[in-house]
Amino acid sequence: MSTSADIDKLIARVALKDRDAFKLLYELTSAKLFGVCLRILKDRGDAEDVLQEVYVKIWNKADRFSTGQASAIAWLASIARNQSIDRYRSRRPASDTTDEMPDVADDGPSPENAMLAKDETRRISDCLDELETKHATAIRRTYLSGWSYQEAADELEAPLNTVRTWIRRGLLSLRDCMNR
Amino acid sequence: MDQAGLVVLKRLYEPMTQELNDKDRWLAAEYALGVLERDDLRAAEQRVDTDPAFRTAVEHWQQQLTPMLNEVDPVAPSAAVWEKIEARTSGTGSEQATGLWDSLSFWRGLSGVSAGLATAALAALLFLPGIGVFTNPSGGSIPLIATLTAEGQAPAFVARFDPATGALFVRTSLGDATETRVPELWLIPGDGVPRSLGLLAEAGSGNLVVNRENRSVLGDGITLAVSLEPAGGSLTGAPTGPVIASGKLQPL
Repeated sequence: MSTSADIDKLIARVALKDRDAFKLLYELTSAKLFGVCLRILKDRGDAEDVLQEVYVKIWNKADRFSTGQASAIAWLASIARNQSIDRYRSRRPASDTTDEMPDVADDGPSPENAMLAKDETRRISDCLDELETKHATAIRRTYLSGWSYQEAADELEAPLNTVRTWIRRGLLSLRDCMNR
Repeated sequence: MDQAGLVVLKRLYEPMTQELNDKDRWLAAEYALGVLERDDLRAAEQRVDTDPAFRTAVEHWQQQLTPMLNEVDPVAPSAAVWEKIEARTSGTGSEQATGLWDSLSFWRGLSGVSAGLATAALAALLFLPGIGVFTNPSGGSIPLIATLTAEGQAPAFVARFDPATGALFVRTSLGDATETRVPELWLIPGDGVPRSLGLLAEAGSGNLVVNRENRSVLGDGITLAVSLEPAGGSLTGAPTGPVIASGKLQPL
């Protein structure tokens, strides 16, 4: 089982171009990051291309990690999300013909994942539970699907400004709850 | 704290705590969430690269939102992905060690050791029989010490260099045995090209004799690092294995 601290150390070794560490980091994290990419892109081929970019980026930028404040997991996850969102937005809009997305429910917790500290996860889901359902749903689905405000409005079938308000109110309550 | 101290402290922290306005705060939160498009997105990307306060705000949000990814099931990518990644990143591996060692931000990160740990290590060193600072007869030359750590870890090595004699005392305190590999100590001078100072004991302590050329380079602020190498040490003259600890020499 890998903890965030182990992954921290691996990234430090990757910064020194330690190939064994890079391989191990890939083995420990690629399935999770691939899941993140796939959730956003909903296409295996695209998600595999993006995953490749993600790890090339990790290899090249690992030395920047130690100067940051985010945890190793948050750093890796944001590379995977940003790269997937870039790809998703650059795709032609009407590309929903094939949906190879595995059957993943939009809500409800999945089994524990060693990559994310359990109490952190519980805290954010507790906090999401405290929000108004509309706000919580908007934040959760938007984050996991990599939607823009416009896409969230389309998917949630609500006016853009309404969705923006839900998300902003939700983020504020979330921040207050997490800081408590 | 006196007035001068406060002024110094303020100057140090001001760039990091400079107030973001509401618009910036939303931009950071929305960038972390991923909802921005076009001009807003480009503005945010640029701020992340150039504005430490903004970057800190973004990282704070990323940190808070990431646990939601626990809902995402892991899915194994096909084996071809790793092969492509390997092909695209090879040729920049540890065989080109010299280029990698001057990654300054990384060294700075590694050298940061908590004051408590450093003090404990220093105390341990000072109380070792025979090498305490007060027994050192060298007149003008000030002994230098370094605590070598991996980030967030207890010191794995403590080194004490005596410029007068060229003796480098190193105490090893590695948690677990490294099996087939041995720790090798490197000096990283200003040019970033590591020079071997010799192999270290896997446990306990020992003295290395530093040659004249390296002796002239060892000084205040110079980085020492330890990598794991095959028995007998690196054959290439540069580190080939993982770096397990590093630290800077400082006046005792």
